[in-house]
Amino acid sequence: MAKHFSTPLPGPCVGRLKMAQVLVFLVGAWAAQALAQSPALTQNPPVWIGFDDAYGVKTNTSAIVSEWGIKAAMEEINNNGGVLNGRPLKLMTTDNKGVSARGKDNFVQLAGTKDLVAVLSGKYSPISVEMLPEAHRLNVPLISVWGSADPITDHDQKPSYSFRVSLKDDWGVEAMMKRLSSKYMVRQACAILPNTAWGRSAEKVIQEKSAQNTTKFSVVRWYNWGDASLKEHYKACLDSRTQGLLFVGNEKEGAILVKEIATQTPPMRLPVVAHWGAVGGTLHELVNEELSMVRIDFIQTFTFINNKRPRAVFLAEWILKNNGLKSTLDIPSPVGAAHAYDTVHLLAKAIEIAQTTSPQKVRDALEKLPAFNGAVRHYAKPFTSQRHDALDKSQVLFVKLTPSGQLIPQD
Amino acid sequence: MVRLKTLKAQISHDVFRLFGTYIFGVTSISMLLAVYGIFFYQQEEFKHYKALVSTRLDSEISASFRQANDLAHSPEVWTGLTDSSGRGSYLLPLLEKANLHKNYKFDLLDYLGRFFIQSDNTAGLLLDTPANIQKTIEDSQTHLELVTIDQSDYLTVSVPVTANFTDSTIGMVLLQLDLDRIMATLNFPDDLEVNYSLIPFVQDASALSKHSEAFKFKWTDAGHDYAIHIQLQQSYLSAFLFVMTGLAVSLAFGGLLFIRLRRWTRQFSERTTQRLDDLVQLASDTVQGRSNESLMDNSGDEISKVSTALQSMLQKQRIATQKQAVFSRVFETAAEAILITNKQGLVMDVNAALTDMTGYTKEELVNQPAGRLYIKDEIGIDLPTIAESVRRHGAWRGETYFLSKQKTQLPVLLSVSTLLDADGMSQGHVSVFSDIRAIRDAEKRLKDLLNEDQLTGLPNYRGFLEYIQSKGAGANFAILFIDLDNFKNINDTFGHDQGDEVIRQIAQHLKTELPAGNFLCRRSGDEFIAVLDVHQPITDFQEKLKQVFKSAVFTVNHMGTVHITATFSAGAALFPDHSQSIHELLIYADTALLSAKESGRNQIKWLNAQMMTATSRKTKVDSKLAVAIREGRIHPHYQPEVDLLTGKIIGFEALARWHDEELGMVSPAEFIPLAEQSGAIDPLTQSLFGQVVKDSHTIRNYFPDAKIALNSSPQLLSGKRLLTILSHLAAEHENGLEGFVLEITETDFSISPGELASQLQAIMGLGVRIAIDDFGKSYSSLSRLASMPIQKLKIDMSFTAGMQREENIKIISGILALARSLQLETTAEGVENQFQQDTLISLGCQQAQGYFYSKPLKLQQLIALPTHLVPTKACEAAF
Repeated sequence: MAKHFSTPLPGPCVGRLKMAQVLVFLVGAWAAQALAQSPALTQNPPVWIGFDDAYGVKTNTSAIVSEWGIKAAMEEINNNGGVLNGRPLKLMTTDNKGVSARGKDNFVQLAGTKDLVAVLSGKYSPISVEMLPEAHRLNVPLISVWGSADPITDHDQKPSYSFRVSLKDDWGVEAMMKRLSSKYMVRQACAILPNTAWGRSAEKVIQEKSAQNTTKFSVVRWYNWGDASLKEHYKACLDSRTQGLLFVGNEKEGAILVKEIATQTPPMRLPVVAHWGAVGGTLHELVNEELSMVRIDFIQTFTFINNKRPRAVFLAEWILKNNGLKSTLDIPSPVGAAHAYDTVHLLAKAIEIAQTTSPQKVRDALEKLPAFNGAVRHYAKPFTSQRHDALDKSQVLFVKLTPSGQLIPQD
Repeated sequence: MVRLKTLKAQISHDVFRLFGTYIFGVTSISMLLAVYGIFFYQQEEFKHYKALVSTRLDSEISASFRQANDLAHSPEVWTGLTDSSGRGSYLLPLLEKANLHKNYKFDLLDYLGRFFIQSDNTAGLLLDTPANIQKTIEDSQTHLELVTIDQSDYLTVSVPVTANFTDSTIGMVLLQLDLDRIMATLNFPDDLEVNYSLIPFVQDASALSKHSEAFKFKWTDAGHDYAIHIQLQQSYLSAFLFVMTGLAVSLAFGGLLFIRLRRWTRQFSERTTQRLDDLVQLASDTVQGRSNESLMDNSGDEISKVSTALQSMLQKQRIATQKQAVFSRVFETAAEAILITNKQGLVMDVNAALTDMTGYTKEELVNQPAGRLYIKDEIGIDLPTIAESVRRHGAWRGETYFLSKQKTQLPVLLSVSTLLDADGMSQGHVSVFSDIRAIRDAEKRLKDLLNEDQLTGLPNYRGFLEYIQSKGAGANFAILFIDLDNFKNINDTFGHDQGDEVIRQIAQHLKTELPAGNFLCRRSGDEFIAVLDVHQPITDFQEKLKQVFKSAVFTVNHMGTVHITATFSAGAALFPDHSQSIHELLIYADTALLSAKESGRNQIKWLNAQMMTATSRKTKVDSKLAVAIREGRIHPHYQPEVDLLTGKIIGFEALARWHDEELGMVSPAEFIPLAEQSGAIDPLTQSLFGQVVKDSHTIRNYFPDAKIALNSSPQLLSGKRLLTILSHLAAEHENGLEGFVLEITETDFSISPGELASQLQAIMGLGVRIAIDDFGKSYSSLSRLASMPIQKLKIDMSFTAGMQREENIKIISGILALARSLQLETTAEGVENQFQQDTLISLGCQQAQGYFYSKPLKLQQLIALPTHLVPTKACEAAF
């Protein structure tokens, strides 16, 4: 279904035959879109927005959900006449399969597309970090809609082409630390982090913010993607008599952790405050039975539940309408959808300010955007030349994951 | 071919031809061996190289692949591939650790085969992207590529990295094996090239100068098979250089050897020539009798041996020449005639003795057949016989005759021997003759002396025997034994000299009186034997001879001339009428002579039938006696001896009895004297005594008290032979000879009375009683009777038989009186009738034996006798 709205770029490894099939598909896609849009828009050259995410990682739900948000916004904008005097916004997606190099290559490819104004990057922070040099080399804005690693926006490039409408570890991880101390009264905590830019970003925050917090992180354990077990790390945490666990990772590692904690006797099951990567996928499917046995909170910046913001309501309805979901509770990875939806709207405004599809101009325009009442929040001044992060710690909330995959906000 | 004149040239030619062949052969074989050896060595070496390469590669590849797989499955690597800046902090140490190995290096590439992290070993591969990376990108499989960087061979392996969180290749591990470095650890020779390829090698022309072998090296990793082709090449140059060096060294040594050989050849030939010259000089000197020690070759080699042998030969020749001169002198001066013939039997040489002996001159004999000198005499050896013997045995020695030039026979002792050459082949013969005429004369004289009676000049008995043997079987002659009657008186009266004279005269007389052509010999003393040929009717002949044997008168000188009248007794037998055996004829003639003497002498008796029979029985008895004794055919018979008054048998006399199938009963009177003459009396006595003693056990079972009398020849007393026989018998029996009586005849004992007495005492010691048998018949010495230890007298049967005459009764009465006075028993023998018995009883005789009681009986008959023989009944029993 999503393919009707998107134009996936063929990856470098796709053969000629596959390329031909894709082209045929694209023709079909355009034809379908033309029927749904006004004749004026279809005659104008589209303005492209790129989106790269780990579609190929099966347990990942962030890519498709983010795409929903993008498309919802695009549909909304295009129905309102598009941008630059009637040009439709169009989405071009690429799949990085979770591999940094692919993401980087995808960025280069997307950036080379005519009338592409910016590339949105997905769930994997290291891939966004990997794209940074290319963004600055090619002068194409890179807007992270899910990544939380600090370096995505905290770097020395001037002017900076990287923007973020997402959680930032700088305050996100701090919030998690505080959650451990406030909710679970943890004084001695343990951190289990991925051995990546994301993990390092989190660790940096832990180290910097530990002193200011009552919770002390006496143990920091690093794991690698693909590790089959985190038991040793968890054991190290127990051995250090820590009372709580700060976990940074995605659904696969989260599932391992939850399963292994569940095998412990109840007194040995430490409370866990987890980064949101774990709920960017089908964690509830991976640990359906064990989930209730472990106290685990996930950090979020957005929820559809009890959200009365008009754009949030619109977005929820759009998603439910277009994807056959019954309840907003059933929308997975809601932050991806909300962040992407807000970002496309912010981009559309920047294009209008820039009055061109030139990425440099769009970038400049992004720093000068007016206030925008988005799904996530009200952006008084979304970005400035000094601040490329559109969100702040006021968006932080913690949720529980139900076995059916619903993210229920917690106190 | 040019004949090589000098020794040096010959040696040089042969040595260098051999040397050249040898060098060529050895060099060729060495080269072939070297080439083959090198080829074989390289083959073996290459096998070794292959094994080494395979082993080494297997080890390196398996280790490096394992490590590459470890990297590809490492979560750290996976993380690094999903990570961004900062991943160097853990990936670089990981790579550094993996790259500790010198022989292979690892790099991490992104999903498109690009380096995404700078490590120390990436620069080299940046020059060219190996094709295998592209393949791995396309199919996510491990691929190999061989690349050459800076003239070094590398095996690059691209291993896809597939994480468990995604189904696509997220990157790859690039492994590069430094093949040259790996091979370097094997310390292969510098000229060994190792080439690698992913496709099989194709032989090209340049490979001809190299030894090249290719093989496929395979391995398996993660269920996939991989292979690279490896080619080993090594230039033949070093092997070629090795062979060439060997050839050069071989040629250098060959050259050196050539120079040394040439020098040696020259020296050897010069030295040898000098030695041969010395040898010639030495031979020359030796022949001329000069001795030059300085020329002697004492080196001990072949030339030295030739020198020694030559000198020895020449010296032997000199000695032989000297010997020949000596032999020649011996030949010429020898007393024996010497004749040398050649193979054809022609005379080659004769000596002076031969010419002297035969009267021939040397010239007359040389080149003539030697046979003309020999003759065949009537008793001599035939020439062909001599020749045959010489041919067979190489020599002949014997007596033969020579024919002198004057055709006279010369008796010679001839010794012929074959002259053999060095090969043992006959070269002729040498014959040595000794003149034995003098020896022959002496032999004849000696023969005459042997056959001649020295007293009469007549042939002696030996001459007679020779003569009689020369008589042919068809002869008809008479043999006469002639004996001068009473010659003993002549000798006693006139002395032996006159006796000899008489014999000479008698010989002359007989020679004259006997018919012409007579043969007369003196046998001994006054006995002559004449052999007369019978040419006329025998009666006429006999009549004529009667005239010959008439008394004749001879003269002797005994205190003047005394005339003696002598008569002859003669016995004659005829050949072949009486016998064809000379031996028998002599016995017959002797028997006839005895008859003549017994008939009153002075007559000639011709053998008649009676004489022949008597002589013949006696001869037969004599001839059969020994066998009869040996075979036990002479048995004892027993005649009882009785008490005259009661008729009780008191004893038996054992009497020898011999029944011969041809001769009938042979009386002891016949065979005992013959046994005594022939010495058979000893075994006869032993045999009879043994039988009697054996029978005595049976006899005593029936007649417990009977005495058993044995008869012995008085001869056995001499030499104590009788005592010995009896001692042995006594020793063999438990009771000795108790109850036996020894009867001996009163005769002219040839031993002294003392010795006789002691022997009889000894015999009595054996339990034997002594009785005088036939007492009164012959010599009876009363003094001896007194001195002899006897217990009994047996009155001779002649007295019993003559009892009709008063004288005999008186003699018997006297004997009985004598016996009574000497306390001797008496037994009358030969009692044959009642009268005799009654008379003897009246005379006081107590014991008797004779046919009146019983004839001698066999043992079986004896045991049937009653204990008492009543005379009437006894006579009945006897007859």
